[in-house]
Amino acid sequence: MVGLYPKYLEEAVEMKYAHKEAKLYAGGTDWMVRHAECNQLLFLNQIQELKVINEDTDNIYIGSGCTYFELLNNDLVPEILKEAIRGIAAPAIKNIGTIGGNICNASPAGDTLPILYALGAKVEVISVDKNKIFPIEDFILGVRKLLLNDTEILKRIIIQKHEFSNTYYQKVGARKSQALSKASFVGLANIQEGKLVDLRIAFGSVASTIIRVKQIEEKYIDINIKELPSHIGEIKADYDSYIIPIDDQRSTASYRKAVCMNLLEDFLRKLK
Amino acid sequence: MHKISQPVIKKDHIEKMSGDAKYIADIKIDDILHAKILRSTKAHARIVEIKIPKLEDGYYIVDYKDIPGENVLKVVTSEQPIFAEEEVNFIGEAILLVAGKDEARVQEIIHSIEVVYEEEKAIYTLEDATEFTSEYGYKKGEAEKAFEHAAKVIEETFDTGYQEQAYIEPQGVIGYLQDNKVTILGSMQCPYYVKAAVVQVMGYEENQVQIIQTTTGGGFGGKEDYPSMLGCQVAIATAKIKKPIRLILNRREDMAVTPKRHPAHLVYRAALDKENNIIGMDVEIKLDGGAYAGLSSVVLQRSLITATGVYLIPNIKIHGKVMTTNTVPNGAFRGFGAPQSLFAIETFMVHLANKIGLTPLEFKEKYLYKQGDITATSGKLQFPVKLPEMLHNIEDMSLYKRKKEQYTNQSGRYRKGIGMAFFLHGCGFTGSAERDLIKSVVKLVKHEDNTLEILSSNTDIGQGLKTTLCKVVAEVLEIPLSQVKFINPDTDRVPNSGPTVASRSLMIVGKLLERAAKRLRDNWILNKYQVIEEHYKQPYMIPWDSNTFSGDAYPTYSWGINVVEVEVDTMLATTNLLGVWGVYDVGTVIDQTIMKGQMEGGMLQGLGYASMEKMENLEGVIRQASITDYTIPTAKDTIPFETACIDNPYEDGPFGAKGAGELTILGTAPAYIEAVEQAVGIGINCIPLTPEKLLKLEKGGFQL
Ligand SMILES: Cc1cc2nc3c(=O)[nH]c(=O)nc-3n(C[C@H](O)[C@H](O)[C@H](O)COP(=O)(O)OP(=O)(O)OC[C@H]3O[C@@H](n4cnc5c(N)ncnc54)[C@H](O)[C@@H]3O)c2cc1C
Repeated sequence: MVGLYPKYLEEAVEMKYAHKEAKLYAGGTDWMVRHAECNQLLFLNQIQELKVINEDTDNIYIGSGCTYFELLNNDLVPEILKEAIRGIAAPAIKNIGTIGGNICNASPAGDTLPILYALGAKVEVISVDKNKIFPIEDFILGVRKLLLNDTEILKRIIIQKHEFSNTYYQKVGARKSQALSKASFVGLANIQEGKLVDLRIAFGSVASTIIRVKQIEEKYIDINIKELPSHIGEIKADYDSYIIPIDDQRSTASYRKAVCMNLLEDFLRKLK
Repeated sequence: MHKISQPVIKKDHIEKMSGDAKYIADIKIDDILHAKILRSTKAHARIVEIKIPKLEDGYYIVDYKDIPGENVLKVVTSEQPIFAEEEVNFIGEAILLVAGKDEARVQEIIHSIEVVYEEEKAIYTLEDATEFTSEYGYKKGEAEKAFEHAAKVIEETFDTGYQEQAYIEPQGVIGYLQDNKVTILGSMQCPYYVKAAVVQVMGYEENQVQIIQTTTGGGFGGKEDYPSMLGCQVAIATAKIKKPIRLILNRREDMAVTPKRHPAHLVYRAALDKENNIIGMDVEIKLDGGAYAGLSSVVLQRSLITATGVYLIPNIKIHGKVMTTNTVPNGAFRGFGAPQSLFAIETFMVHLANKIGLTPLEFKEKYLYKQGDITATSGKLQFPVKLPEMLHNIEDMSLYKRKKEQYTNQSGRYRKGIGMAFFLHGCGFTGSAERDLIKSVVKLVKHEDNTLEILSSNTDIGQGLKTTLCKVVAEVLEIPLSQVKFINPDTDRVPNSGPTVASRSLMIVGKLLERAAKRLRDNWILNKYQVIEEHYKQPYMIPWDSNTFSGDAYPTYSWGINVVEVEVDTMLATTNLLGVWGVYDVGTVIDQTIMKGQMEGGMLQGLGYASMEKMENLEGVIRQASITDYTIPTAKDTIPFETACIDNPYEDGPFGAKGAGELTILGTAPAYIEAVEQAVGIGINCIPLTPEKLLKLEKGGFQL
């Protein structure tokens, strides 16, 4: 096994271009579990540019190489994302696991993903000659499938600044740490003058990718918050055909579905 | 407090904390070959053909044809082949071994071998099983009559799942040859078991087999029988290839093929008279033994003996079988058949109380064993039974009664409950097995520099035995602990003091050492090499009849009470622990810190068994064969436990000590289930009670 150790992003993309078969290695916490062997590894963990977190008037930019503890210790990172991060793994993994790795691992159980989907995050992908920016839901195509070719690296995540009057997050795991999600739920809303002006809902671990359905969210925009309770049954019915979890070694389809619906209802009932 | 109870720094503390301790995978030997096992992928099949590609030099295949002795694993009896010959009976059964210099290449060779099978009908569940490997039953009083005359008969069934030992260090051994003698090093509980198995498989003389325990990272029963299998496989390979060989399981393999706690199906019937007193009980237990008998018969014996828990029931009839399925053979795990029965009897008593309209505690208290009572097996409780004092203590600690009254008629998302369980554990082997089968021998050596060495085949597997045995000797001789040493046993140096199982080591072997130390004290000759040997002597017991299961099943019992308080989140069907308490009677505590480790570890392991430790076998395949998928509780899932021991010295244990290792796991599972039942108001008859199962019991959702 050969290791490549770039110190700068420019160097990294050049190396990636020259060694297309090299696998990217950030914290290695997914990588080590999955691939026991490979011929070439390109280590991203010495690249300071991937650890930058900054902002401009509209956006927050999070380097893909930021570890969970780095994110938790940074004031720019949205609180709802931190809430999800607190529920990930345990301290040892939080010390080296990165947000870029969580995204690029492209698992529906990745705990930052429902939050990033709900926040409308975009990803910036870099290669020797190009920078591309696109929405996260276009980047993640399925389980371990990305819109990323063998010369590209995920550089950073872009999150539009946004205030929400209501935020709600729940991870459901088999235990309180070191557990992959059986299901997870995030609900974000903005209520102004008694009206629902923004609504975002995402579910993790219940389908092959994160479920966020914008048509359903839009249907209830502008609704008077006092009328919302009478729509709860309808909203649950709207989501019914999208929440299609499976039975596996971690949980059952019926449990996953039931808790998702309970969480959705609980979130909606708490909107004020 | 007894002086000996005062905690000390464990004998192996520095070695382990500094990282100096050498576990089996840390041992480096030049020119060692790596071995891997080709395992059956079919649950029940005939092997038609094995297609092996041509191997390069330095890579070897070892199979049943290479076995000089008998191709069977010696456990209680011998039935499982070391390497399958014509048929396989479970997924994971060993077919052959591949060894060679490069581990990855060995793995590749394993993958390139094709086994052609002819599949046969396989049985996967207790429900479908019809064949059995053992069957026992016993009676006390006249159970049939009691049921005939009963005003009411109440019947319930209980189901318990697998439990995986989840020791930190996976199983592994190293073997090498020296002048016609095979030496096996490994992670293990019972060096002499491994020796007996290897002797049989190799057809060697006793002096041609040497077994050395390496520092062992946990056992919990899981390293009672399986190291014998690995030891045999490596002995055969090293004898054939004439090079040192290393066979260390990876975690998935270990979880998929090594023995676990038996899933059980238990049917309990109680005969009640007009005043709702229990006049009889009839219990039928089925254990899923997996494909081969192994230790299962002995596990079943303990399930049956423990079937009525700590209760004096006048007329009982107990019967059980170990059923055969085409699944991984089950074996020893802390508690050894008792956790299944204790979950069932404790939960059954709660349900009976609920039906009768008494509180569970009022009802249970009517039947608690007292000194002098006749046990289920018609033995006699010779020694003080201090359950009332223990109950008083745990009530003070937990406020059980008040909370039990308070947590009624709850609604809303979060609901609380509390449960209490009583339990006992028979210390040591069943009946007269210590005298007739085990026949423990220990030696205490005084070197010329007046330092002492314990020669015993018992192993420290993390439970602290090195420390407690040395403390016993040092305390008798009134010498510093540092003057006594006990190194990992090597069968060429130590006599057979029996296996490290059945909560026996400190009580039985410690007693022998106490006697040896006393003799040495009386015959101490300064600066002279002295060896004192002690042999087991059975204390007074009502003779045990293994046909009728009557007499004193154990020389004595340890006792415990646990209380568990929970809060159930009915929206997610998950639980939070609010309080966990334990009061134990283990005679004299030989080291408070070690005992605390046993209590807290055992209680948490019992809570895992009751709640989250789900292991399923899907058509013979273990579905949760990784630490990610088989969830044991983490630090975040637990809370500080409150524990205490009462003093009740036992004359036939060293300084009054009784067995403590297994006892501690027995009570939290039923206490937890009683607590959850109270919180949600439904009856629960199975463990593990995962959120999935709880939601299913509530038919899909709680009324919030
Ligand atoms: C014990 C344990 C517990 C865990 N618990 C959780 C949990 O609770 N929740 C959860 O969501 N996850 C969990 N994980 C999974 C894992 O820790 C996270 O997904 C983590 O964020 C992965 O980050 P990493 O830096 O270690 O990724 P790596 O393993 O380095 O990489 C993961 C994948 O992403 C690719 N990659 C990494 N960086 C880039 C990049 N910049 N551009 C392109 N591709 C890239 C890699 O090639 C690889 O395919 C757990 C893992 C372990 C071992």
